[in-house]
Amino acid sequence: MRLPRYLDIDLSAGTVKPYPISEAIFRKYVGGKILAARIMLAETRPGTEAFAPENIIVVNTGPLTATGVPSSGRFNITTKNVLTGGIGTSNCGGNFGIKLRRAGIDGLIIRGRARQPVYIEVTGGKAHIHQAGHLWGLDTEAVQTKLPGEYGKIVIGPAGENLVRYACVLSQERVAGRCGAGAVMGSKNLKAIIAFGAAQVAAANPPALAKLTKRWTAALRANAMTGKALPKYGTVGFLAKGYKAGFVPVKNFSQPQFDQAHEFTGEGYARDILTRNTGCVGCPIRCGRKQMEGEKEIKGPEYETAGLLGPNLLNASFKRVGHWNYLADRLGLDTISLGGTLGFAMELKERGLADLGVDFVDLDSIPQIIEDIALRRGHGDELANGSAWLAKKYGGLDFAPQVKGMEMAAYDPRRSVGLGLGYATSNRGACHLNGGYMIFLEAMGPMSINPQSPRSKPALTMMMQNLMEAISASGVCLFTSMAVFPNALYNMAPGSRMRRLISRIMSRSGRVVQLLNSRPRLAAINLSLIPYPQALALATGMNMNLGRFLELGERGYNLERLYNLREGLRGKDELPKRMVSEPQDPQRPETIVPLAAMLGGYYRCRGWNEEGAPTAKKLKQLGIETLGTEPTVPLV
Amino acid sequence: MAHETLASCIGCGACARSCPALAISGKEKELRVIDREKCVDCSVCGYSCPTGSVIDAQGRPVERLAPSRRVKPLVNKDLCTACSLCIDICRFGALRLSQPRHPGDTRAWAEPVWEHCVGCRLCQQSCPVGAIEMEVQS
Repeated sequence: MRLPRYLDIDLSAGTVKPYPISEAIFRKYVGGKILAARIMLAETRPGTEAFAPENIIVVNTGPLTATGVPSSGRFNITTKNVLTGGIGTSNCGGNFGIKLRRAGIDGLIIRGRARQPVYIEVTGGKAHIHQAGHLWGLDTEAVQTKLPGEYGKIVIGPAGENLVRYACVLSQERVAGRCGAGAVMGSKNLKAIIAFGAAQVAAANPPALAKLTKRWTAALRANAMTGKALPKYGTVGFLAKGYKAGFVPVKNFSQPQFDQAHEFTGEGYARDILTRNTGCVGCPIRCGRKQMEGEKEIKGPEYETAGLLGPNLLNASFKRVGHWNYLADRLGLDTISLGGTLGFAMELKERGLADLGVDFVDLDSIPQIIEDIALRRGHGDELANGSAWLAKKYGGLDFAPQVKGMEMAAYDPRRSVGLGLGYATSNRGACHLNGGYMIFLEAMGPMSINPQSPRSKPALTMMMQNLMEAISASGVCLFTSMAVFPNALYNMAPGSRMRRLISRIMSRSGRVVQLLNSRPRLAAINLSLIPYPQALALATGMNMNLGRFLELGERGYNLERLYNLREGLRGKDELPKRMVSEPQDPQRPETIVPLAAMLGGYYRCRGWNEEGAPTAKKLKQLGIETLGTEPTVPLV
Repeated sequence: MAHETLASCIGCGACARSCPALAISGKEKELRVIDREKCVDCSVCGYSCPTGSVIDAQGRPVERLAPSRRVKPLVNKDLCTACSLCIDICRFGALRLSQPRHPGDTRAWAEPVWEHCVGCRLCQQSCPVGAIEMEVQS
């Protein structure tokens, strides 16, 4: 079995050495965010601050990255979450992951702090540290242009250099946005990491993996969502469904409807703004958007950005959103936390709690504010700390759109209570993806499992979280999972009897799903609609099936939880008061998140105690040998 | 496995310029060295060498081959998904993405730019759906 090759780079000492991953560790934690969480537990001491030299950054790939499997151009960046103090992990397209693996390296562990700005070059299985004084201060576009064209790159912008708490990392136009990884890079004086290699990534069974890849790619292209809707409308296509289902955030999550909804849809974008669709390297879905800004073709927004910089700020202009998005990308700011923080600051102003230079009326000042945030000037210096920090200083914690300190994505959980449970329990803060993306089953996708009912949601949320954890760690884009649902389901009319019947059955599926959650090994099968386990087996030579895959996801979720607990995030699975007690639609009292009715059940499903901590029995069942309290746990 | 240079190398740098893997280093008029970790055994260095100073992984000399006699990519538009792995792996820009044919067109595919191609076959090897054939183009 080929084991992953990791390098351990100490920026303080200027040294590079191999970081061995044993076969036992590889089989158990596989790669991506799961293996990275294990490394975080092993290589950092409890209480290490995010910006301390002793904190580490793990930049790694999954075993499927760059194998040719569809949408496998992914890499992961894990470090201490600047916003929450817990696990910080972000997944990204771009071409860096592909180039890193082609350079013969599967992951990097970066520790220490360089005395001067540096960048890291990885090629031929080795890494070198170079001076980057000439790159410091450049925006993410300029620095990528300045570094050698052949290389895959991840870079930070001025926001990362200035330790903005939600600074992101870019690779090409794609963004590892969340958790402030860009600021941690900045704290280490690390401007960029670049990698180049042209070698093919070896698989355990190349012919069988190639065959599976062709079948999988064909399935994605034929699917109504991944082959048609996403290429045509991108993720901004979710807006129309969002208005109908009521989950688009409006005016800092304070209103149920957006008056200008008809002016701001994915269909309208495709008709009036879109120049062409695009995609991450290695992806046949191609959900990315392009639009013009003056004479220049720039990246178009994703749904999250459109929602949070659009209706959330009472803005209905895609031109504006595109401009702000482009500006935020160049400066290196996560647009989700940016939109959430701006919306919150605007409501603070409206309520007379604080004037931070932004309000819902004057949107022309936004570009200046975005720049001020990245450069920590004026009010920008406070806005750079995020909504939870502002709430602590100025009040408004009840309506700050965050969990554990990290801002919510562009889905109001009061219209998808399973997602509300996901936001509350997500290990990295209010993340729709780490939270399990239940909204896809409740309000946005091919079925609508009663979005206002807590019934079956604990078990379903746990399964979705585990599944997405494992997909992410494999190195494949989560969007591929939308093709798990056949066209017949997508093509059913929303009100059709069959669709209602399926939704009803699913809303009563809690016990069956929980049986699988508690005994994943019962699913010792491979399904062609869920090709990940088989692909992993063919790529690595591991024994893998659906049950083992779900168990892998569960192991990852528990590891991340252990890290959070070790760092003091106990009893933090909460939602802002607005989400649990203020109906989104005043006419419909049920439009809240009944979190209390789900959380206990969720913990029981997970085998955690009433504080949300994994029990010793659960850890033993998952084969996790550390309790996370030891200063260091050797990996090999 | 890797290609190697022989002592007859004159250090002209033609091999390094045409290496798709950036595997060749060395100064002008000095022996060029092929990094075993980086070499992808495509033989393009040998095709470009004016003195026949490259041997392949089996120790056989690689013959010089004029660009016009080297294989070039042909893309099957129906199979191509525009995933761009071929475009990404080619550092010479010998493939590019097609432009939309009309507003709202979501179909795209890789288009060869033969004059930039060195004939290394990396695009063909990286294509996950077998959409690229390599042939000598007259």
